[in-house]
Amino acid sequence: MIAATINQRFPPPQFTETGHQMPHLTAPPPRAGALDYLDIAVLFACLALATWIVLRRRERREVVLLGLFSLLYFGFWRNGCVCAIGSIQNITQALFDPGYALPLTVLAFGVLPLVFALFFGRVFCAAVCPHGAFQDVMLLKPVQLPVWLEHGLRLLAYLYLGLAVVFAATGGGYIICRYDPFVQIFRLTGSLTMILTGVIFLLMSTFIGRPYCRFLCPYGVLLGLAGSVSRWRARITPDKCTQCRRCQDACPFNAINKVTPKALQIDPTPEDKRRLAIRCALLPLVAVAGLWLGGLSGDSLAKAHPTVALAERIYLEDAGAVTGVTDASTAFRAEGTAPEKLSAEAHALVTRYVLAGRLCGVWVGLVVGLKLIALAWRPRRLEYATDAVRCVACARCFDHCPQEHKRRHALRAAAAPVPTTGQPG
Amino acid sequence: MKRRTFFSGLARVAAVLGLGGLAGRLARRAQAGHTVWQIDPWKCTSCGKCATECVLELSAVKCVQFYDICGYCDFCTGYFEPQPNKLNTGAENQLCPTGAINRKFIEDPYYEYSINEPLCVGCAKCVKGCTLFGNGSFHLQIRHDRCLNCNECSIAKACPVQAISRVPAGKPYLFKTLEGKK
Amino acid sequence: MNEHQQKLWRQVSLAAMLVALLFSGVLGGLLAWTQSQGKVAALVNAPELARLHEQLRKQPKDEALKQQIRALDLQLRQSTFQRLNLSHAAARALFLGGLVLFLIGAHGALVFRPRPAPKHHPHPAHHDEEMHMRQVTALAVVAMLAIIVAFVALLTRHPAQLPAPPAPANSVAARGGHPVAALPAFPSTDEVRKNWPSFRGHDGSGVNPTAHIPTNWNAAAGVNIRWQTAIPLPGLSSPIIWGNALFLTGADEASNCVYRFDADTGQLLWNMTLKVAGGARPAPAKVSDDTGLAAPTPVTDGRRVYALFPNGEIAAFDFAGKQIWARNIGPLENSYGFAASLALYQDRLLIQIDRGVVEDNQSKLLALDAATGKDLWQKPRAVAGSWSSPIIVEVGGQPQLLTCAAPLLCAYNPLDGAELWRVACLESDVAPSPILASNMIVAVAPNTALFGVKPGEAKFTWKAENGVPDATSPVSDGQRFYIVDSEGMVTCSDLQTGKARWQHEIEDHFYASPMIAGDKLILLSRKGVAYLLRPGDKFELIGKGEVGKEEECGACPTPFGNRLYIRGKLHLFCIEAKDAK
Repeated sequence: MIAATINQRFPPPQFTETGHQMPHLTAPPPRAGALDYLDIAVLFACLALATWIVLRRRERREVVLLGLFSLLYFGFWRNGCVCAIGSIQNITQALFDPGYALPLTVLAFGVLPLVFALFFGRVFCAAVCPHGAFQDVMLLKPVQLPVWLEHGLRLLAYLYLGLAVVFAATGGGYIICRYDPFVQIFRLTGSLTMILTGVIFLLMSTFIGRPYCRFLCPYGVLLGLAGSVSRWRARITPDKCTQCRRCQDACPFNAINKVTPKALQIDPTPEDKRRLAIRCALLPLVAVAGLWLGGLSGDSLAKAHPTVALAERIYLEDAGAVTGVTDASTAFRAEGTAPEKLSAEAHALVTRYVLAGRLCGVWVGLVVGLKLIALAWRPRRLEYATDAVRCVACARCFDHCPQEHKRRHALRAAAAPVPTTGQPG
Repeated sequence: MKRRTFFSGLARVAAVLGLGGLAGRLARRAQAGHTVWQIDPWKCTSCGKCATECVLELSAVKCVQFYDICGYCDFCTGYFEPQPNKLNTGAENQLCPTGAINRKFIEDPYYEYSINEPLCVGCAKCVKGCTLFGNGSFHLQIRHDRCLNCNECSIAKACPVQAISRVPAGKPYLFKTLEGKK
Repeated sequence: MNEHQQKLWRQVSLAAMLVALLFSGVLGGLLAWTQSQGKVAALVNAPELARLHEQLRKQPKDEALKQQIRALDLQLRQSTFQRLNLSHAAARALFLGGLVLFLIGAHGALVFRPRPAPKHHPHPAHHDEEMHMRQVTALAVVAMLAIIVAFVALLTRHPAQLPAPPAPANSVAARGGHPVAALPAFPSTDEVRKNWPSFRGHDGSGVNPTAHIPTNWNAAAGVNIRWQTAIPLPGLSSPIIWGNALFLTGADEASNCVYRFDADTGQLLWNMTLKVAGGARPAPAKVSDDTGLAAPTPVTDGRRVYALFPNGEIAAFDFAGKQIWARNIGPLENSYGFAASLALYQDRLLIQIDRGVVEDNQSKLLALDAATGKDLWQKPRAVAGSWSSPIIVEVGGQPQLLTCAAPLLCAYNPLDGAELWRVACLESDVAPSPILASNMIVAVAPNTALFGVKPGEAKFTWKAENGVPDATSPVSDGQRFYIVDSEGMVTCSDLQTGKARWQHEIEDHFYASPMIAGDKLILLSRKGVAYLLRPGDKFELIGKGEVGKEEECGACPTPFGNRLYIRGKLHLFCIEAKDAK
């Protein structure tokens, strides 16, 4: 079928007189496909190296150096694309849109860091993610946020993840990429608003540790969940904790949990039990409320889809509610498709958005409900330890642990009799 | 504590299996070769958003001249204003706001038009003129020496007719051909 | 390092930090300014220039005006490009220079700061501080939730404004499928004939008189290949076409799949795995390599596509890929694996299920309602297992369903299954399908004999024994019919007498039945080579096409319009002459 043909209004000339040769149309090739595999290889190498540094070497300095490399390579050199955070959306789209072919690189970027997190904690955040590394090097004078604020703001990340999945699954676009604060800085160009947002995030990062990672990053949510069941994650000290609390003061991310004082290491009181029971009963209620509210918002979320936006525009233009036309509405009318067909399509999309909104609402509801249940618990912590979900394995606490100092000293003493070259203390 | 270790181990195994299953399922459909953004010249309405929506200061979209289709007209409707003062290269006669089109005399009555790419901003004024009144040999294409291949193309997002989509990197251009659209 | 040096370094660091801040501030301001000017919009849509142009049209002789336009044009271009360059340079300097210097300075200042003695931290007080904090945190979480809820509430005040939704019947169409509700329940005969809705075409003849295909192609060199697309799962079913929708089936042990391709571009539009609700999935059929797990060709009525698989699963999908119904009509197993393709007459699906030996009484003809998949009727058949596909033909204005299985060539009324006539002449394992051309049916008793039967007569008109094929079906140009056996023996015989006109041996192996596209006879070999002959009274090879021997072609190619669709083991090919319009 031929949908459009060249309008040969003016037949091309033969150049019988001069025998002129037509020039060739140049077609500069895109980046070689093999380099994609290089990216995967670099990602894997960085993840492996980060794991080794965090778990074996336990050196903050090396974490920083690897982070700087990642920042330069994945950030400034690769312009922040492909990135693990954004890959959530590609993977979601691949699951919902059978016509979409997922590039292998994106799949690798989405899955590898999660697999590492399942075994070694969030080593990806520590030194492989350019976003994390960028904020981490910006951190100069950390201010510890109160725990309640930490938990409250962290809810945003769960919501962000839910919305990103909703939009990616329904064809509404990739919001993580669109509102990524740092990618424009990596590219050294972009819209003024987004560059400004990035600069604000960077300025915030100088005193609030990794604000994007903690309060917005949707991939961080997944990594946190994976990290919570990890097998070997960063430990503050491999030896006995002396409960000096220096690590907790050194952690800029509220990722080290307090010890429970001896007097409070008690069995749950009747009040505790009652509270827990109430919160458990609350869980389904919150989830159902989420379902309802999410469904309500579906109608508005659908406007992100170009077809719905166009259908709305056409309807409003026809109804005389707006004046003027847009490029899209002009093109649509030129095409001659019946507006009824468009609006039927839009209605079908809205139905999908309502469903997606409901699921997203349930997700946020469950997160809140489970969080409330977890907070009803009476903790019993016998030593200072990294929080499995929040710890980004930045290795700062190692340097502040007196036990770790002792251990390093012993290691050095053991190594001293053998004369070594290079690498002075 | 034992119980907790057991359950977290269980969860980990489940997560690894789940991830593996997901990756396996997607990998079967995934494509090894990467894809790049490109404009379908048959859909393009020369709206001009390519010039302003690209994340680059100077858009990765440029006009290309498909010589095989070009009529080599003296009065090129892609080069000249709708009512040109004179058919010469004076700025007052040109459609291109950046003077990015070179006009060269070949033989009577034929002139060759070529794009000076560094100057082209992808505004599609010439494309519109050529498509509406001429053979349509000027068309917009994303130039891959410039395109950053963002995960979500911001021009594609703004395009009124969704003319921009991902194409296999092995065939990264969608040039118009004499046979028309297949 | 002594205290003095430390102090000095600290001051240097602080100074660097300050310089970097100043530098960044200036650059940031510059960047903000250049960015706020927009990119090229001011140049592309300069109102002043437009005004001057307008003026020039009124005063075409005004040389001064021309000069003015040229000057303004130059100035606008220069300032725009300068601004763009400046913006780029400022961003570079800001983020690669200013920021790096700032960080070096800041970290230096931290390193060289006077170290306070480590503070001793007392243990937290022994009251229930932790539990208290947890309650505050819970409150904060709830507060955040409240903020989100408020935001959602704001959002819901601006829903998408659309006209009232159409009647629910239309919503199927809205999903991008065919407008089902607007169409009659089944297509007209003309519509069916315009398409290629079933195995070897609407009448199973393997002939498309209007098709026009090239005389050579080569997949490796890309010659006359419009597109080629990988097929997710293998199968021996043939492509069917309705409009620009091309359907195909494929299966492995785990799943039975139906694919829709865009016939123009080859894009795989959807890939649906058949799911029968309730009960365990029937075990994968025991099949031989000669039939495989997806031998039956699907059928379509332009509303839905229907697919049957050897394990007994059958389903209907709409054109958008939504499964409309699915059920299990098994068991279908027979000695080589079930292979008969589906037939469709108006709104009923007809399935020829022949199993075992005559005495087993297991063979039947089954009719399902195409819209719902429910049984309409079934007709027992006193025949042995067969692999032949039934065909629907028109005899004297009446539809007849022709079936072949040892020992019967039997015709039924496709509406109610009433037997119309039969000839007992066939024997052994019947795989070839019959054809009807010029009021003569050609039926094959594999490896034994060919029979010419006039529809409605109780005995055969002729019997021939030349080049009898084992699996492939014949094809006819109206005067002659052509057969090719698996070892490459091509035989052309007279349709009315069965007498051989010529025989020619091709050094190749064949499993796909011969087809006719316009004036070309297509013999597609196992090695992916299509031998193109001129139908006629002598052997005349007019061309050859290749898709590669790894494709092990076994499915019938589908000639349609200017194209030939070939299903290989790995790919689906669309062959079309490069210059075809």
